[in-house]
Amino acid sequence: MTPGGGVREVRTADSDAFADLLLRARLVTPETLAYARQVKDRTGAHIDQVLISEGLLDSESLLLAEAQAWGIHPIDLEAVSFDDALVRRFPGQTYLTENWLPIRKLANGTIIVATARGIAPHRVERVRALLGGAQVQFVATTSWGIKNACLRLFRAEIAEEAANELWRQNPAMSARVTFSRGQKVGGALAAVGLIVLAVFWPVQVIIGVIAAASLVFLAGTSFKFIVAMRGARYDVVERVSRRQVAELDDRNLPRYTVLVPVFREANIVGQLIKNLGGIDYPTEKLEVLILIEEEDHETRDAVLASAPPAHFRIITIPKGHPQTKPRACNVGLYFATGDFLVIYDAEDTPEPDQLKKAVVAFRRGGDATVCVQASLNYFNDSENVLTRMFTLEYSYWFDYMLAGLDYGDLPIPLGGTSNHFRTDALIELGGWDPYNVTEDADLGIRASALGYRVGVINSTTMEEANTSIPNFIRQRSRWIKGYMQTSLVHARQPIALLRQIGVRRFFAFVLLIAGTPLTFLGVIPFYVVTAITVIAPLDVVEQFFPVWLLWITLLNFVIGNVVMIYLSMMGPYKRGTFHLVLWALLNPLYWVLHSIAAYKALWQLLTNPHYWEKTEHGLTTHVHDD
Amino acid sequence: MSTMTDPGLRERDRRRRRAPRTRLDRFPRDPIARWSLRIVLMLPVLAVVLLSASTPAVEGTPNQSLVAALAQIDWTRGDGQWLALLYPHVSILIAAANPFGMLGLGVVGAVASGFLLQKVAEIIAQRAIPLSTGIILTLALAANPLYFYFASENLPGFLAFTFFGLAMADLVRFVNWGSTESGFRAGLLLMLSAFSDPTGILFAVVAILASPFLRHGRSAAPGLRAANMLVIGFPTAGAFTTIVLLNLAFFASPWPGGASTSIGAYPVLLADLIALYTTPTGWLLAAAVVSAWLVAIAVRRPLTIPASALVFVLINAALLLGMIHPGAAGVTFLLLTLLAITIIPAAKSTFSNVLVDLIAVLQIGIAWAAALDRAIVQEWMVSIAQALLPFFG
Repeated sequence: MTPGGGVREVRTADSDAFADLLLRARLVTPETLAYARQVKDRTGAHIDQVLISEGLLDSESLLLAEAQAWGIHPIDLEAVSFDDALVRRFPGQTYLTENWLPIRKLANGTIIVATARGIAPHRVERVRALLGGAQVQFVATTSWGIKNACLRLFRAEIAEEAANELWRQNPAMSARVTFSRGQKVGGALAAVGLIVLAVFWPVQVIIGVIAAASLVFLAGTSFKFIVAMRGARYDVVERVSRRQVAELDDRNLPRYTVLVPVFREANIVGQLIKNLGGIDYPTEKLEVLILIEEEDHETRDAVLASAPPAHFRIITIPKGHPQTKPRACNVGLYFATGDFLVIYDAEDTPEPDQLKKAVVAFRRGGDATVCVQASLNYFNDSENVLTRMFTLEYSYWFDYMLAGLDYGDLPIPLGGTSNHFRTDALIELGGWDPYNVTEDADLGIRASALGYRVGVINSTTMEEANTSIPNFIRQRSRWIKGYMQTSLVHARQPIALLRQIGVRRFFAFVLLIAGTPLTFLGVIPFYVVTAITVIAPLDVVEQFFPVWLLWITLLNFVIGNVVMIYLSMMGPYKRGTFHLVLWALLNPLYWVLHSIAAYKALWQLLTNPHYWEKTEHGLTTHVHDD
Repeated sequence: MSTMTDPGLRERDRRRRRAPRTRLDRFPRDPIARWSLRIVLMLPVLAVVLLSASTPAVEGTPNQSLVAALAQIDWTRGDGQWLALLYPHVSILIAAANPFGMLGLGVVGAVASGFLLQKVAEIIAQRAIPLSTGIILTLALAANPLYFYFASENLPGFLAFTFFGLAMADLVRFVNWGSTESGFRAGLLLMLSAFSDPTGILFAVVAILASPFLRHGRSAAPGLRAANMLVIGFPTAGAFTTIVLLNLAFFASPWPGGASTSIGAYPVLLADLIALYTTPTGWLLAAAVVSAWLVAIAVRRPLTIPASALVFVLINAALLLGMIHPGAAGVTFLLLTLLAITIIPAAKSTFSNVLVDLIAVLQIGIAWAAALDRAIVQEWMVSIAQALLPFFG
């Protein structure tokens, strides 16, 4: 894969003269050209886009042809020495948007400018005007030539923007600072107050803590149950039907960007290319940006060695802090040209028509719909007990919980992948928060807070479930830490949030985002307290459990456990994986793992809040059989 | 190496699950009409309750036992043993919240009756059963003294029965039409049934065992029937198991303070039960089962015959275990009739509709005969008749 071929803007390619040029230069055969014209008629794409995206013409050859058509010389920007001061007269985004880039000023004052769009008079005038009226000498390049040059030239700025743009725009919405001053002071006062009270009234404090924890648990459980039951009402409803997808005209499809952040995942790169190669979308309108960290040579080499299709591109993520997936995604967003954008993980296998379903959902949802989330599920569900439990949990979450949240128009915390965005709205939202380790969940809540709607679509991306407990704890601790970060971020201005999203959605946010880590933190202590009450003499137990508290804890014990197990049983119903239902009985043990992860998350939140616990993929021995 | 499970439903299954709107619509669709129907349907029982309030109470009814049990409860306690003593929790809590004594319990029964009969009407509408047959089936269920006695004098049993009826409507939608929400609601309703009266446990077991006999909308899916049974039964089993585990942990007894029958008493009870079927009372019990079988044959659903036979066996087991209150009457008849309404499909020909109508009329006769056979129901009917006398001079 080589740079070049970002040909969206090369309208010259529409002309018969250009087509003849390609033929004369023997860059394409008459049959190839006829095929490209057929695709052009079907999809509305331009001939050069078709030729490049189908791999029928390499970008260097196209560049030569274009240069000849425009009557200028081609240039390889990789080998050029830029005038740094000249280049920095404008931000990189200007060059990316307009598809030109100044290279250097000659002794006679003429500025050499690389262009990827031809040299129509109005364009020449515009470039000249922007460069202070200087004489301009154009050389031909490609869009990707300009993008790669910008990435090299504006490396530091891009890295800085990807890391801190949200924080600069709206510090209160960024998790760069974990605890605000108010939260620190409030937390410290609460802790001191609790300790003082515990010294004077230890029994009452213990009773109070148990009661508060029980109520949080009970409220969280009840909320999830009610929401999931609502979601269950629609599990047989096809939100976007096959007919609606079939009715889409390829000519009217928008341009789509797929971001695939990968880090040290050379072992599954081949699978990535195979999986994403199966997406049913005109390749002329699809760009797949593989985001690879600068230091990760192994993965980059693996991608290059696997000869990906022409619409797959590598974006090298400049070194920087924090080294997180959202930071890489922000860099990807910087270069994305799609009207819509989706994120997939390296091991993801989306259903082929997922992008088209998202297009239908966006068109139906109107401008207020900023994001639609597809379901996630696992292909290795029957590998071991952990993968079964994980699959049960995901099935319940994506097939019922999110559907219920969608039905109730409640804030939806986005899942890690397969979230589709309107690109312009995503930029307006400030992109992802690189300091938040569940940037997706945060973004979903942020979108809701700003009055946007997040929806769900009936399409599934198959992933690899965690097969090992240590890997699971690492992944889950990150997720729970992210929920904690998200809760803290949005708790900085609770009154403002309440006003913005209303009481109902506010409490949904509290129970879902703040309630989830609290519930997991409560599991092990609850188990321990239960064990103590069994072992300890009755008179000692009675001291700490007045009648009213006993009732609450009993309700928790009976309703909480039964209801949460019951909810897990719901998970397999939509997909017909009934062999998993019985495994839901093991949930009380599964929650212990969550609880361990929650304490790890809490510790990291205090000591290393922005650390990204990497989840290893490619551990499964199962294969995803398409 | 293995292959993944098909992530989507098979197309054939999808088609089966794409039910016509009438299959899932509430009846009546307009909420005001629905509530009006409930109110209208609760009026007959309400009238009987108000009439019975003006006459001396019949002794030994389940409602009287409930009031007596309520008086024994120490509301300052909150321990696990007390939790066991509160059983059946739903009925006890409703009774405790009711300031009007026996009259109040009867009114709650009337309200429950309104909900139950509206749900029966909904089931009939959703199945597109002909109106005439629907009316006759409803009359077979409710137009008899057993039903009125059950609703007005046995609140725990009737609540259990009502929750069971609501659950069965959901169960059918769950199994036949793949409505997941209905299935999970059915499980919860059965739990409420089991916590309303010991017969509710019987009802829950009946529902669990009946579910495999229903026509499944997704027959191709492996493990579906077992999963359905688990979903339907889990809330009841889970709640009871949790309470039993708590009791075992704290009191070393699965149900502290619970009455138990000694093993030695069972042969005697079994002999009594066998003797029952040599009497007209026993024949009437069996007649209800035979009617259910006839309906199954009429609508060409022979698979429901073992289901109703199983229900009959379970009822007898419940009688043996003392789960049915001595003052209860009509449980067998009403259970089998409701089960027939909920699980048999709509008859497809006029001939079979007429057959169902005839059997339903026969059921009405059986119900009246059974009512006249039970002394406590007779006594109750007499008291109602006495209350009616002033109205007829």
